[in-house]
Amino acid sequence: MAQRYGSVMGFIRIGISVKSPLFDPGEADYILGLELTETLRRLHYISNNGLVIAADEYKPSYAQSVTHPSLKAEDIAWKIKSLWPKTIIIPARRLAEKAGSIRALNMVILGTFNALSNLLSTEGIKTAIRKVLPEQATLISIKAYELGYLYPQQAL
Amino acid sequence: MLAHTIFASPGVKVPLMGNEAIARGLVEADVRVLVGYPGTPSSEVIMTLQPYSRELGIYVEWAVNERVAFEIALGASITGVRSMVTMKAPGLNVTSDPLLSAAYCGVERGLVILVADDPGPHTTQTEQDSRWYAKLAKLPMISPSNPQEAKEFTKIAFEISEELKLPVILRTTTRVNHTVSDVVLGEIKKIQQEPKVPRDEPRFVRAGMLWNLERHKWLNSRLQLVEDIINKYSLNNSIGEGHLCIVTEGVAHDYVVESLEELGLLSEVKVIKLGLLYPTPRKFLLDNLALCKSVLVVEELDPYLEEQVKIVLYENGIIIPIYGKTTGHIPLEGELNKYIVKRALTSLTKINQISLLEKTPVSSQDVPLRPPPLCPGCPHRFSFIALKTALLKKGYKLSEIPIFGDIGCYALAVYPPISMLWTEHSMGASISMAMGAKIAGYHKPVVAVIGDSTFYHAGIQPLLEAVNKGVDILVMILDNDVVAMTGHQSTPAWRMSESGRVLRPISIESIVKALNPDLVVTLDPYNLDEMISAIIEIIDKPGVKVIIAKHTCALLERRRSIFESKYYVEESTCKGCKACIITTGCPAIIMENNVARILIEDCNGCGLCSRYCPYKAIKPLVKGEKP
Ligand code: SF4
Repeated sequence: MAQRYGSVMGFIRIGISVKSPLFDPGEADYILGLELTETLRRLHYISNNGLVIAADEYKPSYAQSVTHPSLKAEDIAWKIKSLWPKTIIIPARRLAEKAGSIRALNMVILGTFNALSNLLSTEGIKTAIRKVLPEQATLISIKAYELGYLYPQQAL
Repeated sequence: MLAHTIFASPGVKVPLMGNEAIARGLVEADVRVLVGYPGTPSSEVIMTLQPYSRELGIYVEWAVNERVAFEIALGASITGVRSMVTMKAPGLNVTSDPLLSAAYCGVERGLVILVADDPGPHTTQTEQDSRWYAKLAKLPMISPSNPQEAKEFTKIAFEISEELKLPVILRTTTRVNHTVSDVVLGEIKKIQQEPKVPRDEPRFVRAGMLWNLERHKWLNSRLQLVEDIINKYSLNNSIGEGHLCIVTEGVAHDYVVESLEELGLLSEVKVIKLGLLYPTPRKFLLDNLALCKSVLVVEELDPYLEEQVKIVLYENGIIIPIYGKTTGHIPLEGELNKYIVKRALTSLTKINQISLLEKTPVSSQDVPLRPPPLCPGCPHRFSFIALKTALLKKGYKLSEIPIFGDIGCYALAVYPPISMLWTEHSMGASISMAMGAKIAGYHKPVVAVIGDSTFYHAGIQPLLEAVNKGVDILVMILDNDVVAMTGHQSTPAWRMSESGRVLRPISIESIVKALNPDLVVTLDPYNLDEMISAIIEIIDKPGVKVIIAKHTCALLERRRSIFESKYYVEESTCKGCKACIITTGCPAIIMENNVARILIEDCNGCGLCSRYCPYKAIKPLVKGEKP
């Protein structure tokens, strides 16, 4: 849904039998956050054994910039971690830029997610990337995916 | 959708969005004419097929509004080719006039109206329940639950339409249109479609009152046939047995099944799913409800099915409790989810509440809302800031100059810090409502703000009315050369449509000039000072003054890489006063650690913020350089 610069949440369900498109708060096995305040906003979706993977991006809304100008990325990251210790914050901007473009930030998250969840085949993901993106973006995206994939090993 | 999916062979399973599934359904059904007006959540059906229009031999175009789109499709269908028209729910209101007459003349080849309702609402002005339109217009309506059904029901709708010789409404909701799931593709059939315009005055001319009476009888007799005709398509079905029966449709059905499964109730409850919503499948409902001890109706929006169930049971002398929206078990507003369905189920069965409504491990956090703002570099931001500045310079209070808005991105100017919109009502209403305020005797200036596509859609007649009656209003047409909010669709000003059709561009300026208002100026809002002086100069003048603020949508310019430079905040100079943010509300500027920062990837280089920094901390960045 087009909500440019607004708050957007997508529900993804993977399984043999998926009956309906949505799930309720407290049911998410994973939360993949592209931005910290938005991750915090949706944190109540996490399930008892859930894992939060979030980019260390801080893009506060207008309201937050005006009312809380002193906040910074670390403050929100700390808040998320204190509420939900099973959280990994990734330096996603740095890794995406290393891969060639900040726009590949989502691929970094996907890489880390897959390294930790083992839910999807890396080959499948790469094939999908090649299918939908033009060549230059494909190379960057795959590189970003790989950097994200390796991140948990290197960080631990 | 990718080309290989459009043309893929039957049996292949691919993940498709509901709207893409409908598009593939149209290809499988050999539809020849597809028209509509952009509107979330319906737009992707047309967008999916536009690039393949030529290859497929389908006319796929946006029309100037839904009503025109509908009439094109009706004309095509009467001439003997299968046609579809797509729209969001309010579009059906715009279409309602020809829709009702179409039930009297009927069609030759199939005509299907896709209307997408928006429980929530996510992106629509009302939580309109378009199911009532089926009853009002007396037209068959069917409703799928998921992408696979969306594709199948599309094809079935054409079959039913041709069998009954009536237009059929395919009604969806956001969660059906926008959900992506696996869809098994079907055969692409080619059918013989010969264009031939039938001449039959009693059927097609609504000027003869006796003819109209006869056609009404004809229509009623067709509706009698519907339930028997649809039997072969299994649009309605039921599973399970039990004293409690649930009647449901659309995506609500999926929430019901999943909730029952999770509560372990699947074997104790009977689920009756309706695919045909109008006319009410009386026989099917009666057969399935005969042994029930109570009924729960689970549906989104109004208690439409609930009323139909009550009618059918009453007619047959069955008096059992019926739960749903009337009894408060299902809310009257907002969209459904599993939680709501489970809550209703637990209150009607013996399930222990505590085990069901488990607490979430983290409670919901209080984070400031993030309504969508105008984009970085948006020309509308310039227009509104110019208007605000001009009004203030002229000595007006912002609270005394009403600004009647319209539907489009520019309505986002309602949010702080711009806060320059008093109304957003329905397509085209800005000009006529502003006129109404003047006629009512409001003595200060009034302003109407309308976008280019909305002006083409429904703003021309209001402007004609205002000029004709001679009221004193300022009309600002914010022309960004695209239908931006719904995903950048073409307007009548384009030279070529998305499907490659060569268009004859019709400029806003030429239309406005033809209507002959007292004053017309076309300005580029990026020239802020010029805009400000123009508004100051004309706001108090008598008559209809039109400013066409013409500048391409910033996102389109960005795609065409028109922006040369970007801006950055020099950290050592920034005093953290927030002036840049508070004047512009640009989402590319944030405050972090008490200094402003421009998100380089979001900045579109318009430079508006730099104008308002009292310390000159915002500077242009030379290409390739890092801040
Ligand atoms: S207006 Fe200038 S000084 Fe004030 S916050 Fe913005 S950049 Fe910093």
